[in-house]
Amino acid sequence: MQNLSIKTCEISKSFEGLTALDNISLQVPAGSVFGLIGPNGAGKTTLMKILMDIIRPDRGWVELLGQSNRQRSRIKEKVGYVPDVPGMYANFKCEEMFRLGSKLNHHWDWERCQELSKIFEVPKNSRIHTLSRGMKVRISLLMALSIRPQLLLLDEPTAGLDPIFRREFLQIVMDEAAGSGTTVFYSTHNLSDLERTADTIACLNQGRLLFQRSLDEIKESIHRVQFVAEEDQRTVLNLPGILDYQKSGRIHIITVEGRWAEVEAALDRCRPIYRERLNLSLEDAFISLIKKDTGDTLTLDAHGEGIEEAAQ
Amino acid sequence: MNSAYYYRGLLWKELRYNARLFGLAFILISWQNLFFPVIRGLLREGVTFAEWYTTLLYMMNPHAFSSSFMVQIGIIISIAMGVLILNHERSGSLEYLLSTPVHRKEIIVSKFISGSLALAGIMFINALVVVLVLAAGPVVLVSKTMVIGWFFSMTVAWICLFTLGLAASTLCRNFAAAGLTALFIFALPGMITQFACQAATHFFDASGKLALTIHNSMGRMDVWSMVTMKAPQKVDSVDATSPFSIGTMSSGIGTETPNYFVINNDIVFYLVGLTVLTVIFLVAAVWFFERNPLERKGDWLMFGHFKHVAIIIIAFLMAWSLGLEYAGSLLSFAAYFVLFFVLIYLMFIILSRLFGFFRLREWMGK
Repeated sequence: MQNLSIKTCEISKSFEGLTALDNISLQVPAGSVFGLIGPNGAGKTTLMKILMDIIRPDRGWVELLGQSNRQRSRIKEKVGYVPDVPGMYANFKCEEMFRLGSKLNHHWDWERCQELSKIFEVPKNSRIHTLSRGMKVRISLLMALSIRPQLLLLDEPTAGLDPIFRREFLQIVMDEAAGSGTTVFYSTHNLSDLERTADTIACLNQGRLLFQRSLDEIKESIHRVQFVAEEDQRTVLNLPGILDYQKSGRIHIITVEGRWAEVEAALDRCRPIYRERLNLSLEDAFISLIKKDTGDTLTLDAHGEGIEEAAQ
Repeated sequence: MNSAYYYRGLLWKELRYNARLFGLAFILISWQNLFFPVIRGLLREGVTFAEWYTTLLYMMNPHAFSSSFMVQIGIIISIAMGVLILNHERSGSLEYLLSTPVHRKEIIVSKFISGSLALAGIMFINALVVVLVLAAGPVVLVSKTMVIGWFFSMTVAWICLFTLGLAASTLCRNFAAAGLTALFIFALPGMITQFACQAATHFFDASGKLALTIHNSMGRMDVWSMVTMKAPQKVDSVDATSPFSIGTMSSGIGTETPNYFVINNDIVFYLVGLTVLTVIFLVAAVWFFERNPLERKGDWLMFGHFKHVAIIIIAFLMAWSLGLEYAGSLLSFAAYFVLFFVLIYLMFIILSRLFGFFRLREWMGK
């Protein structure tokens, strides 16, 4: 049986009637780098907070490292967390924050803390409220790594960071994952980062889990093709698994989901004169899947209306 | 790891981070007793030692408690401390605390312990100075028992109010709403007592003596009376029309030696009552916090908006007094109360909407 670092079962959460999460069941294998993507308001931060038991779900349950995330287990001794907006004691000096960290987690490793302080160039005697957001993120990561976590939860940690530090940040996280076998679960809008680092990706949209697949699976199952066909647009749009459609002059550009052999067979029905498979980035695949989920992909009505709109 | 490890860490954090808050509370609560005479003395503005001595002596008299500056300011400071000690966490640090292995209960209990220690420390320093000043005075009029009684009663009272503020803060979204809710809870038993007395004379034509008996028995439950250690009025008192007059009881200053426990027979009841209330408030605080520590739109944030809280409380108070004014029986009071409450509430809601509308027009005009 696969060893899981995170297991959630049918988690639902709503705020004043608005559904933030709807029946989310996730499984994150131990030692993996797991990316969580989704548009703004998809429920990523809510899910992170529920994983950390900062807020409680209306339904469902969470297991971290094989134990319930509820209080009794003290499982959070082994879990590092970097929130989207690092919340710290504004009037504390950085050093005092580290002392607090060491007093609230007996796994605290002062050696690691000193080492990372040097790398991150933390001004130990500065008060938290005087620091930039980037520095607060560094401190938050430093504190999360200083407990030598088995599981690291990062909620859009690189948002607003400069490209140099963003790369450095990811490198440190990946080193941690590779060196200590730490499971990394992180949400981000930066899909190129994810493409470089993640093994598996889950996508949330409007509180629902759209998919959970490995990066290879995504690349193998979503394709972008441009072609010129003898058949009209109606036939093209009726192709199975179509996610996105664009038209430029006589050229149809489609994004489809399915195995390549099946896609090729389906395309043959349009009697293509010319056909070319395009490179599809994770970002393009993500946008196409979200478009499909929100109903932006047009389907034809009886009179073929909507095609022009799609072409625009 | 056992809880003691985490409590030590949390207590360190609370005492260190709130040092300034506790310092300010110390200055304000001790202002009349310690700082004001010293500052005036330093400025040579003429507070003599004898005056200081008399002031402290007066303060030790339980009948002067309710009107003394220390009690008045202490009530506000204790409640504000309780509200602030949790409320400052809502700026983001609570998320950090909740992401550590500490239990939610431990967060609240450590706040309770640190605030209680601070208040006990403040009262201890005050009591020490009182003892020293009174010992150096011309005549030793104060017994050790009296100072110990004063120290304990005040400390227990402040801790009770601090816990009330803490409980209110777990329930409400912001400082103002929490403060107002705490003050309302604080005043509610007094209002009920007043209602019972007025109902007895208004609706049932009871004698002044009976009204006073009702006041004394119900007033024992009044948090305000507990905090101010108000002695129950003698039923045989000549002045039975004013339930809050001291009547013929000795003020304790002068020829008689005031003895806290002798004069105020209710002290033990008050101390036990305040302790029970403290436990109730603490349990409520933990209960609310465990269910809703952070969610800004959670189910338990029923008092989310300060304006709404203010309107409800104002409508409640106005409906209460108007109901008593116009009602002739208990039943008609209930009807009047509901009617006035709804009308006043709606009136304020409409006024606030109108105000918002005009403000919007003004803004659009610009």
